[in-house]
Amino acid sequence: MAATQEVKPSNDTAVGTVVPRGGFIAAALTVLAAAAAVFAAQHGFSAYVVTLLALLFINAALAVSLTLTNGLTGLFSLGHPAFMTIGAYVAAILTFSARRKGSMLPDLPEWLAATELSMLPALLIAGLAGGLVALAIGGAVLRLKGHYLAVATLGLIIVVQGLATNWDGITRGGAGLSGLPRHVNVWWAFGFLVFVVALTWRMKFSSLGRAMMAVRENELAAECSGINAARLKILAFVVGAVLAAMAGALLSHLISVVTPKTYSVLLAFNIVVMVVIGGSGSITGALAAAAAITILSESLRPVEESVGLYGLSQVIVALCLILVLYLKPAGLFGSGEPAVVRRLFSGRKEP
Amino acid sequence: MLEIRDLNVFRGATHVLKGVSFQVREGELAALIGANGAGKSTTLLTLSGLLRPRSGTAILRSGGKEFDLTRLASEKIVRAGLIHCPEGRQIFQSLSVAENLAMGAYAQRDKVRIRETLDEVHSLFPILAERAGLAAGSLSGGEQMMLAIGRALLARPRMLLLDEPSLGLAPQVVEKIFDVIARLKSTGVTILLIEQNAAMALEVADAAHVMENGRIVLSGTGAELASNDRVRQSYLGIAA
Amino acid sequence: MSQYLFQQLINGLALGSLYALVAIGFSMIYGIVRLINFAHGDLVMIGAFSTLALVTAGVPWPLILVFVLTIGAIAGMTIETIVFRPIRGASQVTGFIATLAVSIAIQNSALMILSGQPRNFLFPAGMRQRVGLGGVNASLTDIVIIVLTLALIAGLFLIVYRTRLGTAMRATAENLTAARLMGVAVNRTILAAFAIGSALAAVSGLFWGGKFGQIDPLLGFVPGLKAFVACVIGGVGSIGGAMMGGYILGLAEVLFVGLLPQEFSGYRDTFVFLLLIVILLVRPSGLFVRQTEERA
Repeated sequence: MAATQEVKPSNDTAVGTVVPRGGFIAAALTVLAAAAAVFAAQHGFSAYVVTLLALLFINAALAVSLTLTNGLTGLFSLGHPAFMTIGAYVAAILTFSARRKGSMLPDLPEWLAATELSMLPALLIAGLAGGLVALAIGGAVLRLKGHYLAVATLGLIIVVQGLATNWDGITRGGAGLSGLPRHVNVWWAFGFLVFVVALTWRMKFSSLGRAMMAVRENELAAECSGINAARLKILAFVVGAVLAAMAGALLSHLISVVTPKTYSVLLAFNIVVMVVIGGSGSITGALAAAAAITILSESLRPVEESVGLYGLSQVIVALCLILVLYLKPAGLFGSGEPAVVRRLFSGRKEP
Repeated sequence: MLEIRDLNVFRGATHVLKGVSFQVREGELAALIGANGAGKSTTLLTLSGLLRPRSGTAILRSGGKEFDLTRLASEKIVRAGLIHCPEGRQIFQSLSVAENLAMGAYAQRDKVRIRETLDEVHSLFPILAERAGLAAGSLSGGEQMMLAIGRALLARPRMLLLDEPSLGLAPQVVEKIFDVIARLKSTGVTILLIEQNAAMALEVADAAHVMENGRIVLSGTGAELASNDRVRQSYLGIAA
Repeated sequence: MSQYLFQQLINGLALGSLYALVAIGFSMIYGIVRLINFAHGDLVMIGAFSTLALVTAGVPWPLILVFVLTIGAIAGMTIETIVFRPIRGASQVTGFIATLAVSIAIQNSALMILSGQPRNFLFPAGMRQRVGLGGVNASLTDIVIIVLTLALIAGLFLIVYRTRLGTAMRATAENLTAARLMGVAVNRTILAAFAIGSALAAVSGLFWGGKFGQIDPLLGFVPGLKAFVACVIGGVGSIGGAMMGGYILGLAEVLFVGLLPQEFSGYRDTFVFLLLIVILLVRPSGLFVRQTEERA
């Protein structure tokens, strides 16, 4: 485990903006191999396992997107579930069957009630909506630092939940929207994960990513060397929010329901756990931790049900987190990528 | 009274004290002089238990007992009679002057003796009695220094560590502070003094040690060092 | 004063008392170790369920109050010793994540042991009646909550401003290094802050059950967050500010629900957190603290 130590940004980002061809081929091959595995799983395993796999992909994408906000820029935002809720409701209203919409959601303007979109445009609009909300509040909220930002973004979750619960003419209140078309299967989730990882990877190993990490390490020093820290922070926050909103849209069309409480503070906690355990800022770490935690809590579910100890898996996840904070506060992978991964995908030798 | 032997202290990855050894005899006023970053404050912080050495010992003989300062918790070091009056005064700004003095007596149990010591401190620094109810942060710099020393005195030190007591103060106040230091010494308190004003320190010190880059490079009586060429050149600003 | 306004006032003060009790401990802990203790709200839940267990066991009410204070103090000291002390010195965000983990662990342990089913929780019949006061009347429960809270806060102020321990706590909160140089065993002082703060939160849980009549394992989440809001209103780290913030928040919530049309009452929590974000942005040091401390 040569790369478990904190990797200096200068070390990690010397790749430059262009991903060399060797790295691209390796990445393409990895995606193909993974796709083959997904294909095999789709035909060899039960529907439950395949849905689980889709869930795992979306969780991993969420963790990686939080890496972008929290890991690279050092903003400690817990607001992901708020943007997921926004994205899920926006997409759900767009994809819902036009026949039922008018009666179920009486306050919807007529043109919207008559609209029935397919998944892709709905997904993009959901992402846009999340991004716009993030842009609107980001300028204000991002002036806060550290745990003040964390609590303000927690408050954002409550605000969004409150709106979703009470604006019943458009959201159907606490009951939420059920019976959404099941547009999303494991391939959607897989594609989304590949998109998020590729985007984050490109951003991290670009001058933009370097600037973000500079802001994380020392905002004042970064500003002194000509980096517009405020703009970078908003950018990271907005991109994170767009991805979260899209993830929320996908997830609700996977499980075919969204309620105000589907994406709660607990979810924010679980994503943060993935990022912290994986190592704040490490894409590989976020992926590995997301997979491990999703599998751990899903495999504990039958145990919970058989002994009637609901909550056991969450307790275990929380204790794991505390243990990591004791023993390896920088996370398993620090803020860098393991040497093997970095060499493979960036097509260059170790410095 | 105090015997420091081969002290090695790290702060983070930096090796700050590199095998520091020296002694302070009972009743002595010893001065520790040296440039910024030489390790003087680190030495005091180690003695008062706020920093732990990688290796070495620091034995305090006080009240017929021996204490290994490198192992003792800071609150027990205070009870052993070693009191550290830190650099930059570090008074409790939001507490009243009286409360600051009460914090000085935190480890003391005997109410009558606390009262007596308080009266002594008030007679040394009458201003502290006048301002007793005010927030300490509202005092002037000189008054805050008097409060810091008064607070240390309420702990009834057998040995007092003084870190830069004259820093940033007006000359009359510095004179007053040094008067008090001399009076303390005459009552039998052992004192280890860090002072950037080397001339003044060497004038009052019985013994002095020069620290450079984490090592003691010279030791002697105050008068010896004051006439040493190297000290005169580097610390007293007198051409040899 | 009209009956309606009077009722709203008493109701708001009672709610504010609950928030104030939680917020004070939150603020004490922040003041002394600079830790936003997300698990603080869960002590409200622990207090509420302890009360329920003690009532079921037939313990008389005055004793229950003492027991709940004790249980809260022990729980707070346990959390501090096991989780927070080992990571002292880590970054603020790391500390915050640890408190979040503790909160999730406590909530889910409670779910495991108690199940998510809400339980009914009743004060004795004598306390649930209404009492008249010169033409207007109010719930005795609310009045008891208000009076007992004031008594507890008075006791707290006595400890913090009139005892050796309290002086040491304030000294440690301001300058931990200097406090150690005075011979303060800071770990013990910090433990005392956790004990006192957690005891108050647990008593708030006792009152919470009495006021709302129902408790469940997740009930601590919202008071925990609102305690933070109350602290932000009054200035995080200041005990008096936290108390004032709690009362202001309680009254503001009740007024919000009472004065606006019925259909807005569901937006109560939305309103509270919008208020939080606005105050954080406009007066980050709180309404009662001079704007000095840098919020980093």
